[in-house]
Amino acid sequence: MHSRRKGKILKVRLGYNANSSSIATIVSVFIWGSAAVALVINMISAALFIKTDKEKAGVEEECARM
Amino acid sequence: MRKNVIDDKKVVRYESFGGIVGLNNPPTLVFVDREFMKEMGYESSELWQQQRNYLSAPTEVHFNITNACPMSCRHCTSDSGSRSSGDLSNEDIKKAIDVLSEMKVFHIAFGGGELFERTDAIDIAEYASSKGIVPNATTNGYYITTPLAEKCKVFGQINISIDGIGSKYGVIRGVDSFEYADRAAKLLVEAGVNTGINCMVTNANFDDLEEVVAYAADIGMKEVLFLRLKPSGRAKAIYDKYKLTQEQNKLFYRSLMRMARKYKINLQVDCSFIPHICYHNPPEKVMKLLGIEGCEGGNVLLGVRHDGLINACSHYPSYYENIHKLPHMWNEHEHFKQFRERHITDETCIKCNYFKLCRGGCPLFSEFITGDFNAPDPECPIIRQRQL
Repeated sequence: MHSRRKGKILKVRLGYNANSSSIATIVSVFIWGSAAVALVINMISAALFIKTDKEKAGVEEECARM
Repeated sequence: MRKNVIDDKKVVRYESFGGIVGLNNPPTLVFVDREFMKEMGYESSELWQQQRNYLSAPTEVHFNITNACPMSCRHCTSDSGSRSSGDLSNEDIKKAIDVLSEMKVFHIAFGGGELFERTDAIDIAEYASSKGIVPNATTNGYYITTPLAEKCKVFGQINISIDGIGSKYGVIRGVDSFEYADRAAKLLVEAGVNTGINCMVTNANFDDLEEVVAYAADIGMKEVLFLRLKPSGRAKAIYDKYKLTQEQNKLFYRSLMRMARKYKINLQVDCSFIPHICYHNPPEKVMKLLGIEGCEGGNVLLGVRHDGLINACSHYPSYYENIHKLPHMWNEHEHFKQFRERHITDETCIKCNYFKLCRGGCPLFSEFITGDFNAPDPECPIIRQRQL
């Protein structure tokens, strides 16, 4: 369980910037509203820990095979 | 739909505040604090002992791999056209990518000129990908064929330059080749490549921007990026004639929001448009959380010219050392410090609620229009309003 995490996401940059001359940011997010943005941040946080757990499980599995 | 070859691994880089996690699925850079890093299982870093106000390396590099382009558009901000003898060799570009990989750069946006003037563009992108860097690209679409589109799946995303649909395509650029851009867009989408549009916004196409968004949404593109016309490269000569009017500067944000509601497609703006966005009082919290910020040249961003020289932003007219000196130059060179520590003293600007996010707008405009790099962007609607 990760319910007691103290760590924070400071910011996220969504998407790739395919432009080769200046930095792009998605502005259509302004129609989502703050609550939706907070939800997205929480989902990304959860996704990060799921990926981390999967990676750890993968390493343990690899070690077990050796 | 066939999938891109971009995998879903995560890449982590330490920073003084904690770290940055790069994800490809969904494509995101996540800036986290030290506690978050520890909770993900990462040990403490030497960087955590440091107080610094800039990143350990750029997250994004704009790498122009050739000056050659078959189109010679009037609004080209890199003055490309003829093939230059100074283009880096394939080997030198790969060495440059090695430097960026060592510094844990996350993304490279390849461009030119037209990157597919180089027959080794795919090889270069594959090399970047093998080094853990996501290659992205801007193209005019001229050389895209079905087999090449299939190979383009190595890219995280490709944007095609389109400023108008059909006969409106060539109004600003002075080159009428919509058929090539249209064909390329459809081939790339069909191949399953994440594809978008780079659309230069001028007073001449301002009223037709919705046609570009509708076109992109209709053929299944992922997003449209609106670029501000910049007094840079060949575009300097047409800047005064085609720059947005003050009225258009103010209307732009509302127009974007209207289109965002109407079409199921991401809309982006480039960093120089941030003052125009801030004028409409968007939620600061959203801007901060989603990194919607002004100039980040020499911090988030590094420019690399076709001959290997580097600077803080590819629109800036001067370039400095060779990219192989980047690890030292990043921390020591005055040019980067000038971008990171811009000394804006204008009262209207520094008292603006958005100053910390906007940072005075794009210094390129300040320097071109006022001669002062540290002046606020003179076309910021708030600054302009004060002057009237």
